[in-house]
Amino acid sequence: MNAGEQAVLLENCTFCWPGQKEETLRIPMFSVGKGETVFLSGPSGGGKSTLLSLIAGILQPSSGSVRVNGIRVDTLPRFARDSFRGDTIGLIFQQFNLVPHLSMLDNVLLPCRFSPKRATRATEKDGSPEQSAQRLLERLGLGPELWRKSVTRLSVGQQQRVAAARALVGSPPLVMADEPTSALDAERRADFLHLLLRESAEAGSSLLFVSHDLSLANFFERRVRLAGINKADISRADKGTNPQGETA
Amino acid sequence: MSRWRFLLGLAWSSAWNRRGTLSLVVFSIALSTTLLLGMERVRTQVRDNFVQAVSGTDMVVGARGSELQLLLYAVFHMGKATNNMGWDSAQRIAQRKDVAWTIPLSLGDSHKGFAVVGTTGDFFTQYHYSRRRHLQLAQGAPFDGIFDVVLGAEVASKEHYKLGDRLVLSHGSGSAHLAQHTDKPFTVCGILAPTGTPVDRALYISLAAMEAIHIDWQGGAPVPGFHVRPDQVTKFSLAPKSITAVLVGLKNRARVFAAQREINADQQEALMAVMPGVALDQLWSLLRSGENALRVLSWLVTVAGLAGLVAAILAGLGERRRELAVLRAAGASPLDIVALLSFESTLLVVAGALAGTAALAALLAVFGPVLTSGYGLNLTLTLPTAAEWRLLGGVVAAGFAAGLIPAWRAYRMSLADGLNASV
Repeated sequence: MNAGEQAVLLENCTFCWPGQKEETLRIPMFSVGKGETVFLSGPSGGGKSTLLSLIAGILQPSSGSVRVNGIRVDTLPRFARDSFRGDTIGLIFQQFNLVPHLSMLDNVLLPCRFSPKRATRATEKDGSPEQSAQRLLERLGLGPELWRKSVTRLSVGQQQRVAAARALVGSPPLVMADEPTSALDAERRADFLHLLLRESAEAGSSLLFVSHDLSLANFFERRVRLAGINKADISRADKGTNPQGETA
Repeated sequence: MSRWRFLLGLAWSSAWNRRGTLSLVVFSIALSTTLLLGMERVRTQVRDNFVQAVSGTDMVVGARGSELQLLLYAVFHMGKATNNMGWDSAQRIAQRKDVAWTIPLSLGDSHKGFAVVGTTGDFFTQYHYSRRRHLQLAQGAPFDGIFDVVLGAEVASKEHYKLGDRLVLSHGSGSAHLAQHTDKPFTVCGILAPTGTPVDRALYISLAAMEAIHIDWQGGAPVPGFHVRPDQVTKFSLAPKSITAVLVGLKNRARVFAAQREINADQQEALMAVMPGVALDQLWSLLRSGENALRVLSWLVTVAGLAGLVAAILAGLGERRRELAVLRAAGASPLDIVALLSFESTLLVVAGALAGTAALAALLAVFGPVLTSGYGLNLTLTLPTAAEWRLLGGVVAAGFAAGLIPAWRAYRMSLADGLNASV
């Protein structure tokens, strides 16, 4: 498989939390194609968030390689990893995605502040990062009357849409969403997913969507179960994979 | 560059968001800054005030004893009276070839707590202060008649005296029930312009007047059965026999050591020539340990303020964990997080230092006049001096250093949390 054609490519990747004997992840092969939408499912505490952290370059694999857009993330120097993440990956979390003291617009613009590449791409697309953020917010149903307002009074659904706009601004090659719909009710869930799929297609981003809610799986081009790619014996591993107390 | 600006803006917006808590931190830092700067201001201005009063005088000559005591008593009207020196010695000094001018001073009496100084007309022409400034009369003229008195600016303003007013001097000084020279009242003939020196807080009469009011006195009390009416005093010799001290100006300042040596070795009287700067240095070294204690104290208050800063930011970190993870996800490096937290603490310290400086200025504007009239302390409202800028820099640097503690903590946190910060 040609690494350059993959948005994400993990090969012979293992990960073990410091101080634990058992591996949390052992992934011989996992990939997300360019522009592909992938649904990754698995039980809570099964290592999904750990996998995303590996791809984002926030955690380092114990062995093996992690490539994003053809670049070996795991061997990049620390600071290069942080800026590579800013340049390349849009992230959406389950909830509490926003910086409470920034306005909606400033929250969306965050990646453009940390990544000149994202700012440049946003400018190429819409004329300026601000215009790009405004376009995305409007397409996600958040009107100008909300842009300058504090984000603390938004509903959870609105907050998740702001998070989606932030993940998409500056068209990163890869968007990763970690259970982004689990705080939404069923009706809002589908709405949000459609918006996310539509906008990542529009931005040309690959989408790696992590959820345990299988009802959403059919909207994706490919469905992957973590248990199917993870050969680590997680039944023996500590269930709470993260010593910090992961909340999944 | 734009990244730093952005992080600075982010730090500002984050701090503004928690302004309720953080304003208390800024307040405590402002308080300690005011204390630090106020200490420095009082210390240097007290010194300036002392130095200015004697800046035009090369030597103070008096009876042998403590140099500091002589200077404090003769020039600043403070502390215990010194022994008198003979009038003939004063004249001998005035006739020295290297002496440009002399001003004899005779102290001991007072009026409503202000010192009464017997002197000569030379005082009004030769005395200078604050480098080369001469005394100016705001109203009237120097004393001419025997029972004329010239008032220092503050004496006139505080007691609401005007030209032509008559007043009675007290024998001795202090606040106890003093014997009054009621039989020989004085008339205000002149009022000096303010100088910001002890000159403002004294009354000036001629040496002859000083003799005249004491003609019928002996040992601190009127001699019973012997009374000289004011119109009779000229029948007696009013030449002084002794005075407190002589202020000396030399023709050539380079002669000061030689002149001092010769006067100290005077054959006829045990005299002492004091260089004001040297005596004041003795005073400063006496005060040094007290000054240092106050300085240590105000730095301790500053440390307490900074501890409050660290505590407030550390306490806030817990609930900002998620926020920091979001920034990391958006491409912030752990070093960005350190910068963010450092900016925040530095912003708070700078705000505190500025507020403290402003508070000091406000305090000086309000209470400066009270200090001047009550304690003769001239605290002027000026821009911070070089030393004060250094203190401010010290506070900000200490604040920056203290801010590295929560910054380091946030750094560790954001490394450990990654994207998985618990909520």
